[in-house]
Amino acid sequence: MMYENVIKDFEDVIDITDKFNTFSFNFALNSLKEAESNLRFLLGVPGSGKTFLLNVFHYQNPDTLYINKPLTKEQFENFTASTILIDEAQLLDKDTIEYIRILADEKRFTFVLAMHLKEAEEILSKEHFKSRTIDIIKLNPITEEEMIQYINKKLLIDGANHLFTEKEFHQIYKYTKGNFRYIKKFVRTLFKLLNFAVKHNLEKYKKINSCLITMTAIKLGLEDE
Amino acid sequence: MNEFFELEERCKKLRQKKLLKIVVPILLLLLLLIGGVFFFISSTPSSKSKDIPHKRVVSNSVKVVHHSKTSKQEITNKEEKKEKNSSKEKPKEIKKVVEKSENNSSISVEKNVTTTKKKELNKTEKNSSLEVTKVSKIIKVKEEITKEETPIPILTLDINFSNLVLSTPTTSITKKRVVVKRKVTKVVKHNLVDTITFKKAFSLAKTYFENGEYQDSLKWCKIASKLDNENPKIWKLYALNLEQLGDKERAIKVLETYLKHKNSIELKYILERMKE
Repeated sequence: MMYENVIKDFEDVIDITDKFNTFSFNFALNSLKEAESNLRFLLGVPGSGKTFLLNVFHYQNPDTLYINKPLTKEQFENFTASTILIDEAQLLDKDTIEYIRILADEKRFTFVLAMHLKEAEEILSKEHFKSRTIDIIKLNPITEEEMIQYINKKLLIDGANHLFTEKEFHQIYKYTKGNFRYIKKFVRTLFKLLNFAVKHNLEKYKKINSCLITMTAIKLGLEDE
Repeated sequence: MNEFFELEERCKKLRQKKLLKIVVPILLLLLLLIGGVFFFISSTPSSKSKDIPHKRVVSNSVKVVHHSKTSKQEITNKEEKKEKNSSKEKPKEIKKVVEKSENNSSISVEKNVTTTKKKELNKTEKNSSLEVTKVSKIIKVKEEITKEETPIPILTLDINFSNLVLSTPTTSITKKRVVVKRKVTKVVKHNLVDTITFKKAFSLAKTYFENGEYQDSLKWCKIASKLDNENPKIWKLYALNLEQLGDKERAIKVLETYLKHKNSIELKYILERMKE
């Protein structure tokens, strides 16, 4: 049995149709929808699903503008949409952020800035951000149960859900810490290794075991040797 | 392919490390537990041993008590010993003096006198210059007695002069003889260990002589002579010892002195043989 399909399924590609409802994701999405201020911050660690959430939001609200590239002041003049979703906002320079703040104050636009947690803390600590009403939405990592559901859902399609036991899931969660990107990457690499073992008739690795999981962790640099 | 096996090896090493991380603390804990148990075990006897000092104290006190008891005994014993020693030392001193004074006609046996004894002798000579005169007087008296009544001479004169009552030559010689003899026997009895008998001493002297240890044989001859002075066997053995030691002159003198007072065919025969 080959696992090429599983490997493909776990590729790090944003596919809105492959949306998986987790508590933190739904909570963040609702918060984003219900937010009243014109300046909203979507924060989370890298790989927590900020981009995916913005894409879903954009998909659900087509009148919004999704930008994932650095912006200049002049570009703002051409915007027709009232809500602008800016991904990787930590890459914006100070002037641009300041300009965004001014535009938000003027209520000409509603901005949703998705950025990494650390950089956001620096920006939000400034006086002019503190004094204003802004919405901060944090995207938390998924729970172990959610992860198991997510993986099983995907494996069920490929008929490979029997390969894991709870122990292995637990190990995977220990390494990935509920980070979506890591989970996908981990499972993908794991199945690559399993695929190799099956191809070369390595009887020890007919099923996913703890050794394979450790090997995957080593390969991804998640295990300190 | 290489990557997979490389990862496998790394995984194995990592697992070993993890195992060590788990096993080592467990082992340490076990060691600690064992150590704790040993400490507990060792501490229980130590708690018992805490009682020991009390016991020691008690024992010490007992010892002290014993000591106090024994000390009295010891004191009495020491006193007795002192008395004995004094009684011993004095005759020894006298012995030396007698030997010196009677160098020519001496019956004394001791050849090797230690330096300490010599020192003691010198001291006693200095301190008891009066005693020397007394001794010479006694000897004179003794000679007179021997001339008249032919008493048996003594190989070693262990006379306790502290107990000795001196009298002038004008007093009756018989009385003197009796006094001297009594005192001598007393001293001999006092000095010798009760267990030593003439037979034992003589047999020892004989065996030493047979083994060629003439000095030791001489010593035991002296001891035997203290117990029985009249026995010709001891005189014979004494003379033979001296002969063997190369002091033939003294041996002849010894035999002659005995034969002056007592008759013994065997000793006469030996004397003749020696003179030849």
